[in-house]
Amino acid sequence: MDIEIAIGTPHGDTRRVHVSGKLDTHTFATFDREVAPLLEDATISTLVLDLDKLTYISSAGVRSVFKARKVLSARGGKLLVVNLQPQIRKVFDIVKAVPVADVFASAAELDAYLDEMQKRVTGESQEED
Amino acid sequence: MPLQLELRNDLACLEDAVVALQQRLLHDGLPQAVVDDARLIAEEVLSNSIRHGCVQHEVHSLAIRAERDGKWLRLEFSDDGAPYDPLVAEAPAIDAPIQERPIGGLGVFLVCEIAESVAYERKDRRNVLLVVLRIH
Repeated sequence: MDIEIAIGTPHGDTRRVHVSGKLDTHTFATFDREVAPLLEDATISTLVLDLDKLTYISSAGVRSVFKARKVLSARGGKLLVVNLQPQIRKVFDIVKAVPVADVFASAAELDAYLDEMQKRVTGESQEED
Repeated sequence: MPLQLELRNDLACLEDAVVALQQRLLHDGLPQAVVDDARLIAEEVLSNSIRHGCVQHEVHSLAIRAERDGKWLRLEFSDDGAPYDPLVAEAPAIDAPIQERPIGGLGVFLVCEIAESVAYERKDRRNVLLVVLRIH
């Protein structure tokens, strides 16, 4: 298996994408193709990449992640990443692929953050009422 | 015994060469983190050479030589393509705001950040890039 991409079911305006295998010169085009519809989908404002089973990334893969981040950011969205293996973390750190605040060590940490965001959004809309 | 590998300037051959390098280094007992670094460096350097010095419609040969020297791993990449020094590229603006950051140019930057030293020379009509990694 070179790369496998599993897109989760919608959860509010958040979508999770599980990426397994390798994200490099040979597989980045598959990643780009699978993720493109999500980047275009205006109902998705937070895209979470769960990289628990991603074992290797090269600059070609970083470029794809970065491209996704750029598209989302241009329309006010966000890209979050969770469960980085050591090689991925090292590469992300060196090239500053994703801001430190958008990297989560575990699903639990990410869920707590998303819950907090959700509460804040709900709180704001109640105040408006 | 140093490891020597040759490949054609075809991105499709890159994966096999990189995996062969990785397996050999693991077999030689190098730590996983160093093997990961070597694999990444090999992919970055070779894919760069294939895209730049060795254009794909011409046939060129690329070679990797890997040798352990005490606490150092010396990786030598060479090819018979047109002169091409990857180290002259400007470092990418990784601290720029996201919308201003270019998405490319990260490969050589990664190699230089990870390696202890990187040097280019044009020798015997070949591009030679010597990358030294510290084995920790």
